[in-house]
Amino acid sequence: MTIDRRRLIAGGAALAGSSSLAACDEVTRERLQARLNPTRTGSDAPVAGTDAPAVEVVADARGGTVSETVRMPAQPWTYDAFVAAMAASERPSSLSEAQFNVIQSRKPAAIQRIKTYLDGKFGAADPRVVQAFESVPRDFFHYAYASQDSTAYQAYEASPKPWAIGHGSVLSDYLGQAYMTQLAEPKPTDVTLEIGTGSGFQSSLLSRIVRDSYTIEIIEPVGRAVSKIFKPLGYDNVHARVGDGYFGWPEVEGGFDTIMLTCVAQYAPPELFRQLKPGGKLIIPIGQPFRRGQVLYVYTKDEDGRVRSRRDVGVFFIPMTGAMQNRPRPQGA
Amino acid sequence: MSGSHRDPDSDGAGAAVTPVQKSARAALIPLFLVALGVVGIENALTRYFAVAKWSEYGYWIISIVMAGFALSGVIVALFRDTVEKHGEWLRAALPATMVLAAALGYERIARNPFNPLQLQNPTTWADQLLNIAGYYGALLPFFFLAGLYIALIFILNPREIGRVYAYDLIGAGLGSALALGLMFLVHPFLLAPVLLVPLALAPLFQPGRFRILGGVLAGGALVLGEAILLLGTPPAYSEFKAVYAPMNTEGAEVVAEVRRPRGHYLMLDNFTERVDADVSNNASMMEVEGPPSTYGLYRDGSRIAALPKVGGLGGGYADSALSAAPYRLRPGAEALILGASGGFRLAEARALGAERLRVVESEPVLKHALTHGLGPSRGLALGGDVQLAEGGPLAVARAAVAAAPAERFDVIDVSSDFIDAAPANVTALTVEAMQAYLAALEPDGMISVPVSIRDFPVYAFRVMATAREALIRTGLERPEDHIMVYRSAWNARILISPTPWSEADVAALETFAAARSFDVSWRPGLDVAAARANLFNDLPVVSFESGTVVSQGTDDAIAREAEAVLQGRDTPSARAFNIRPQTLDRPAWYASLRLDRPTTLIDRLEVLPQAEIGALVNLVVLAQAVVIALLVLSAPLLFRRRSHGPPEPRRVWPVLYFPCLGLGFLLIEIFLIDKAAFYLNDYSSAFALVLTSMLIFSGLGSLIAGRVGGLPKLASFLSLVMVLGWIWLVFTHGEALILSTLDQPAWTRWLIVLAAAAPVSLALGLPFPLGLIQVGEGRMLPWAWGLNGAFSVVATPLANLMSREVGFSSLLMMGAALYVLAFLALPPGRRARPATGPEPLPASSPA
Repeated sequence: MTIDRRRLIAGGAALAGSSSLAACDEVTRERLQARLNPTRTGSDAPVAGTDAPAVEVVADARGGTVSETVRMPAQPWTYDAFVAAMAASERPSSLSEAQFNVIQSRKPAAIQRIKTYLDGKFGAADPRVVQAFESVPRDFFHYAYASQDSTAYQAYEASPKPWAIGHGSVLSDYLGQAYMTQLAEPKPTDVTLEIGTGSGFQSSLLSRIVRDSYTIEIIEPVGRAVSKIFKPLGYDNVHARVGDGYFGWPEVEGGFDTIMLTCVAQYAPPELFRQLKPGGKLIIPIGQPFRRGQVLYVYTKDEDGRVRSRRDVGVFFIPMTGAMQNRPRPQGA
Repeated sequence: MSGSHRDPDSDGAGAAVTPVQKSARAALIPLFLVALGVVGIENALTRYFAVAKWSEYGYWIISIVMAGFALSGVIVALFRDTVEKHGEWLRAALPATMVLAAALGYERIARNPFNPLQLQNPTTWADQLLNIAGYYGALLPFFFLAGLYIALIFILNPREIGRVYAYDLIGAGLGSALALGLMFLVHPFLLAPVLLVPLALAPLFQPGRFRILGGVLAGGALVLGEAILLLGTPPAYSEFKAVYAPMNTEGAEVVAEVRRPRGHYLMLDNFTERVDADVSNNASMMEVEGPPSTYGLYRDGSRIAALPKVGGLGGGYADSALSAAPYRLRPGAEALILGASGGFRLAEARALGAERLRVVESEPVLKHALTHGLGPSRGLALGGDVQLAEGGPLAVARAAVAAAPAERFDVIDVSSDFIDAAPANVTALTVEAMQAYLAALEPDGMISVPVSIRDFPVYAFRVMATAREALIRTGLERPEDHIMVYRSAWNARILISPTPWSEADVAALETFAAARSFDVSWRPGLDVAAARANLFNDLPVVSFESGTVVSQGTDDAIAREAEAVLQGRDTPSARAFNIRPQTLDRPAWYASLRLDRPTTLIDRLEVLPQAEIGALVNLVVLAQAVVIALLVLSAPLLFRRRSHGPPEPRRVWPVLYFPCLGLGFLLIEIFLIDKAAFYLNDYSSAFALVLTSMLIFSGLGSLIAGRVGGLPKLASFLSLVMVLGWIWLVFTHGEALILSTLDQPAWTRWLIVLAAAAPVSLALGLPFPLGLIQVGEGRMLPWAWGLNGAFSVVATPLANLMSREVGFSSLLMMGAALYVLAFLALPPGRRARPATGPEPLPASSPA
């Protein structure tokens, strides 16, 4: 038997009574169900499958505010702030202040690595992406959820690598995350959706740039733990949920500018394309998660709703001479 | 003790069996139990790796096993006299140490955090190499002690070499059978605790004064060992296997479990389970419902199928799927479907208007689920327009050709999960299989073959090359006129027709693809430049060797090379990868890497598909095995002059003889397993049948060695004649026999496999004990035993690589050459001392 590892993001088809739509009124629910299953005759009988599991909506789905600049922390990220945030997120940590200071001393070099990497891959690093990395304290996201201890000492490592965080989830290497973030071209007015919260770092990164960042995790122990880490950082435009990612987040009116499937997927669910705005991007990494970066499928939606895909191999393969010059420079770069 | 009787099985023809001999034979029963237990534990470890980790790393286990045996042979050789001097109590105590070593080792590997996925990343592989070293540390002691025990029995019974080897082999064969039988009853993670028992029982059957002590020690070790296994760190699935995430979603349940030697099956109910259908990106615009939710069936932690829920076998999404095109081109088709995909492929075909379906389902648990249901999933109502075929794809296709023309098919449809559902299914995409399919089609019929292009588009080229070869062998001149290729972002479908595609079919396919945002990568008369200008799914061309993206702008990597591949011309992909046609002799599917380019493979390690890593693992295991074998080979250089006992002349012939046998036996065995897997359409039962029968019959053959030990060259010659004759018969008539009896009932084919394995195994059982008799009773005896084991380790990865690169027939040819070499190396021989007359009593004798 071959090892074709896959992470499933499909979900239950029994929308009737699905608590994922519990927050909607009856009219909205019927409209969403009709859109999701256009062949239904209007009967409330489920098409097939189990009842959808109880899904917890951690934050309500109202829109956030637009910030033209990258959101930076109001207070410096000190050891006391780290300890307070870890406690508020209900995650024990045995990290000492000396260790914390060593981690922070590595950060500038890591940021420079990111900038250099993005310069090389895209012609110029997107300054918003670099600033987002400066804003989000990556050490806060290094955690071993199975053994319940902080692994912050791993952060900003000189040789970027993916880190297992428990329960099959992985914190991808920061260069690969930088690549995928710049590829998404996030803008301040954007609304993003991530399927596969994992450590929460990607959605946090996006939240510093975009208006709202939605994220869904299917693995219950990871999702429930990680859903508590955003508020201590003051990331009130991150909306997290544990449960089914197959149907996206249908309550969000207008859909999403960027959808990321940051868990390994087999195919892109049709409903996610429905929720993708025209001109938006749906990004899917393929391959196992312990590589340095991923080959990415990038789906875009035309104005007429037609979806096209592109395979981005830039993490592993460099363009031949001339192709790099054809890339548009990011705004502000 | 008085009394003797004539025993026709004694080493001297018709000589009386003395009490000493009776006692010596009774002392072999523990060896039988130890061999049974050791092979059982080896099987348990292999299953642990397949379930908890990934099965290709089981090769490493086999290599550790044999490394332990080989090293023990060297140690016993170096300290032969000391070992013999303490042999009696060692023989009593070793089973207890083996029980403890097995338990401790198994518990340690359960704690080992080895993650093979991190081997592909240069920043993370160092830790994994340490974890692999941890496996060696955990498992080598057990297999070293096992080898030590077996070598000890050899040196304690120098006049019973043939019998000792027979007890060892037959014990091993039955141990394998026992382990396989237990896999029907016992969870894979509980095999080891059960298989400790035969080891612990061994001392109880040991005659002599240490029997009670040995039994007490073994009993105590068994209690302690079971406590370690049952109370220590429990084995578990790797969190990175496909089953982990679904099992950890809210409300997830295991609703059925099946235990089989081929795998441990779990059926899950959770919200992530859906039909795996490659549907159009524009499915929402097509106003079709999405794939339904299902149960998920996992085998050894990897998902193999979706199974339907009650009322959930709808095929409403089918028209948006990549696989729908053949049914749009041939409305009302009569179809042969390879792989029912849990029943969903049938539902899809019906929804697309297929009128008569024949289904091949090679995976036995899926087949049972189809007919009888599994857990809460009900079986399908077959009959009428849906028939479940017996036998594999080739057998069914050949039967259709032999039957009336009305039995021919419009569509032969390979499901996207068919190849991965069962190891034997790779033969469904060989040149020979495609020839059979072409013959079983209506003139305007077609074969539809799926290929994943998620990792490498090169797999599409392999299928195209295979199809091209099949078309040429069928007598068609322009294969490029008989093939069309269309794709999504994830998969390609290759349509193959016995007649050139018509313009109407080409237009129909292009219309189908355009409506669903699929791209046509090849059809007769394709304008590649025009096709690339309006792609829905960009697939850039990359250079695997230089690491550059060749494409500038949107591109179709398959369209760029399709025509050249179909015309048999050289292409960049053909230079960078292996795209030779698959044949029954060389059927490996995940064999696209050029192993003769190791530097490139190391440079691109991170992008290699997981399924291709097995070949690299093989190379590493082979290198390690060769190093160990050479170390064992050079061990006699360390032999010092013995302080007592007869002087040992330096002999060169064992250096050639025993390695040839170690390699040759395994090569023939692996050949037989592969052929039987295709013939029986099931790898697991083939493995079980061939391994068990070869071990038992070669054990019986080695019993003869004692009787003919005085004429080793003659006996070896007769054995060689039998082996070469068998190989000649296989080469000249084997394939014809296989193909002509493919349609026979399963029990008939089992008997044929047994009839094929038995005579050659009898012959193969002779040379090793004949050689051991010739090396005499000194240090060369255990060394030769270790040498044979060391080269057996080399054989498995070598055979895998040879079958992948050259073909399985190369294993037979090499096996023949090795046995000829061995025969030539064997000296005319010294006369073996008969086992009659006064003998110094072994210490174990009760007399």
